[in-house]
Formats: sequence, C-alpha cells, structure tokens
Amino acid sequence: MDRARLTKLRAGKHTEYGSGRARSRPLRLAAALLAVAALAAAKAWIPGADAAVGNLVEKNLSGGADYRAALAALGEAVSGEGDLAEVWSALDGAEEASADRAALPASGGGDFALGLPEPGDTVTVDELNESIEPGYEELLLPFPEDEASDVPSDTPSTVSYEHLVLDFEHVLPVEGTVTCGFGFRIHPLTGKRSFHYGVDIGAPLGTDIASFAAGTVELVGYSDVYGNYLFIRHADGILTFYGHCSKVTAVEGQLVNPGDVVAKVGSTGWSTGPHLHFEVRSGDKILEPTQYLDLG
Amino acid sequence: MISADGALRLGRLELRPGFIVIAVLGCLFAPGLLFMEFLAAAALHEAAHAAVSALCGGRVERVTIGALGMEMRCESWRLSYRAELAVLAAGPMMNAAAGAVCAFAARALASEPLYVFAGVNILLAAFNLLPARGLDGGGMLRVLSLMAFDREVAALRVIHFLTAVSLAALGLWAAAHGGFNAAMLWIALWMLGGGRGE
Repeated sequence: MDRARLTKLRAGKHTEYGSGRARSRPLRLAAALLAVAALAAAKAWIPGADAAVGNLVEKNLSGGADYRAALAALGEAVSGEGDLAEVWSALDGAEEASADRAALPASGGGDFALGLPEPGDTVTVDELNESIEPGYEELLLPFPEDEASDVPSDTPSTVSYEHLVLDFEHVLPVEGTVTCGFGFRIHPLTGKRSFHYGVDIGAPLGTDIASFAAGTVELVGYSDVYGNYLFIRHADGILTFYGHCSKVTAVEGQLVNPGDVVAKVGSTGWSTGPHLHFEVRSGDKILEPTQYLDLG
Repeated sequence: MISADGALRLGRLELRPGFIVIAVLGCLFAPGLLFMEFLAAAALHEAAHAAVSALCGGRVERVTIGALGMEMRCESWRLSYRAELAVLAAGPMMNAAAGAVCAFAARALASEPLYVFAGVNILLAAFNLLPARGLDGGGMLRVLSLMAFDREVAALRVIHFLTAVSLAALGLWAAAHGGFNAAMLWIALWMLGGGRGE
C-alpha cells in the first residue's frame, strides 16, 4: 500500500460529497414538525397568512432581490442570448435595466422576458386563467382563444376603449416610464401583431405601488406569468390588477384608500426588468388604463 | 424512522429538520424562492456523484437533505485519489452540463422556466466549486493536497477561511445595498463554522 493511500486511510474512511452541506443537532425534529403543522394550519385557516408569511420569508431570505429574474438572466447569458450584466441588474435594483427600458418605444419594443411574450400578449386564455385561484372564478377572463393570442387586425371583443367616468378619487399607482402601452404591438419574437391588455410602467425594484383608488383587496397570488400579483375591487364594479410585484404588502380583504401602498415593484413572472403591469377592468371588459392615469 | 441526531430516515435517505421546515415554507408560501428548482438541481448533482462513485467501486452509504442542500456519504477507502477527484468533480460538472443544455433548450423553445432552471444549475455548479471545506471544490483541493504532499496542507484552512469571509462580506454588502439577505449570511456562517468531519 502506498504512503499516500495509507495517509488517506488514517484521515478517515468516509468522504462526503454535496450540493451544499446538511448538518443538524438532536431534538430539532419535533420542533420542525410542530412548525410545519403550524404553517399548514395558518395557510388553511388564517386569511392573508399566505401573503404575510410569504412576504416575510422572501424578504428575509432574498433581501428583496429578484432571484428568479437573476437566474433566468444567468441562463440567458449561458445560451448566448444575454449578458451577465442583466444578472447584476436583477440583484441590484436593476436601475440599468430601467434605463434601457426607458429607451424603448411605447409600443412595439415592449417588455419581453428573455425573448418571451409579455404577459397578456400572446399568452393563451388558459395560461391567463391559471393565475386565478379557486373561488375567484368571476375573475376568469372570458376571451375566446383566437382573440387572446394572435388576432390579425380586430380588437378583442373583451377590450373596451370606452371612457368610463370614474366617480371616485384615483391616483397613479407608480411613478415611472411607460415601457409598453395598451393595445396592439408587433411581437418581437413571432413578428406578429398581438394585444397587450395593460400598461407597463418601469420603475426601480422595490418602488412602492399604490392602490389606484379606495377599495378592497380581492385576491393576492402568484403565477408563473404575472409573478406576485393582486386584484383590488373598487366602486362601480371597477377592478384593478397589479402584476410582477417583488412582493405584495396588502392582504386579502384589506380595505385600502387611494395611494395606500399595496405592493412593491418587481420583476417576478415573465419579465426582464422591474415594472408594474397594470390593468383596469369593468365587468367582463378590459379598459384602456392610461386614460385613467396621469402619466405626465 | 428517526435517526439519533433527529433526522427522518427512509432507507439511505435522511431528511433533516431544517429541510422539512424550508420545504414547507418554500412550497406553501414562497414560490419565488425556487425551492423545487434547487431541489431538482441538487438531486442531479448527487446522482452524478453516486453514479461516478459506483463506477469507481465506491458505495453510497447515505444521502442527507438539509436546509443548505444535499450531501452524500460514501465509503471513500475503496476509491483511489484519482477516482475520488472524479467523484467530487462529477456533481458540479453535471450541473454545468445540465445548465448548458437547459439554456440552449430554453433559447430554442423560448421557455422562461427552462432559463431559470439553467441558471439554478450554473449557480449550483459554481457554488460547489468554491474552495471551501464541505464543498466539492474544497474536497478536490484536499485530495490534490494528499496526492502531492501526503497530508492536508495548512494553506487549505486559509483558503477555506478566506472563502467564507469573502462570502460573508458579500452578504453584508448586499444587506447594505439592497436589504437584509439571510440566505448568503447563513451560508457564510455555515462555512465559517462547518466543514469539519470529513
């Protein structure tokens, strides 16, 4: 037996390989199982526990950084589609990304996640509706499939450019640059015309998102498409939608006033940079949101 | 079955209490933390270690999943130093390969989830190649040291310490610029206090 091998044997007969390392001390299991039971019970029976615990966990573990966007940017860089600066942008508030986005035209350039379609753009009805949690079926979008994806020239029937007079105070949810407007645009990936159902307002990561008007937080959730999102129900059947938030600070059932902070700007879901995707709905119609916003 | 140190044991698989809590928090409350993506990438990593170990005549005794990742315990005395290097390198190489494949597939399919999984794999590969004790990079340095000097040279401890301190500094810097980031500081503290027992 050679000397090196003998040395190794003296050093120990086992080697550990790992993707990280796991260690523990005795008697932690009971505490862990109790914690798990408490968490499951909170999710099942305490309204708003989802958002409250989720925000607490993500805030303290991530420091507000958008890891999903950063990791997607890393994958994009490896594929040759992007560069590593985008990773840094996602982790560091993405001010550079915001600047890049501000240079984009209001339509046609838009906000595309790593070459993917913008939410509400070529996403199918089913994908959109997957964002809605059970019990809130009245929020489901009634678009026929052909209208939701790739309409060559007609405006989808569920879109309304009618200007409703909102008989209540309303404010701009977030100050920023409009990076993609409401309406048809040329999808940069497919080259086809398709419809964008909201307005995208670019702003630095973590910027406060205010409630458009007084109302009740109807639904808080997460989807792969819209990331962290919430719906707020206002007077006269008006419903507003806020997508791609880094975190939602409001909880379901909460009463809010115009300008109350309900979420933070993020880049969760299909998005390359921090922005708010904002929609205004009335009944089964989606309205042109910019006519209700003072965008300067 | 419960092990003496408080882990749930299912055959050769052990689930640490920290993992159980993190799993529930991640799956039920914080999908943005990408828990399932990291778990899948870690499983690929360990599978590569196990496959190369088996090819070289080693035997997997136990796979443990904890709050900071997975670890696999092998009977290393069956392995030559070269084989042990191959086993150590297999995990990060598997993640790097999976990352590259997923990145190009994501580009072809325009799939954001695939881009994210590619990023997770690349990050895991890079992290595990850090020259710290307890990670594959540190393990490879240890084996190289044994091969060259028949002992673990003191420089390995210095390298390990500097790596952990650098990570802690990065965590503090991130906290100062973007908000408290417990994950990075947690990993740095684990590295500063861990790595013993190999």
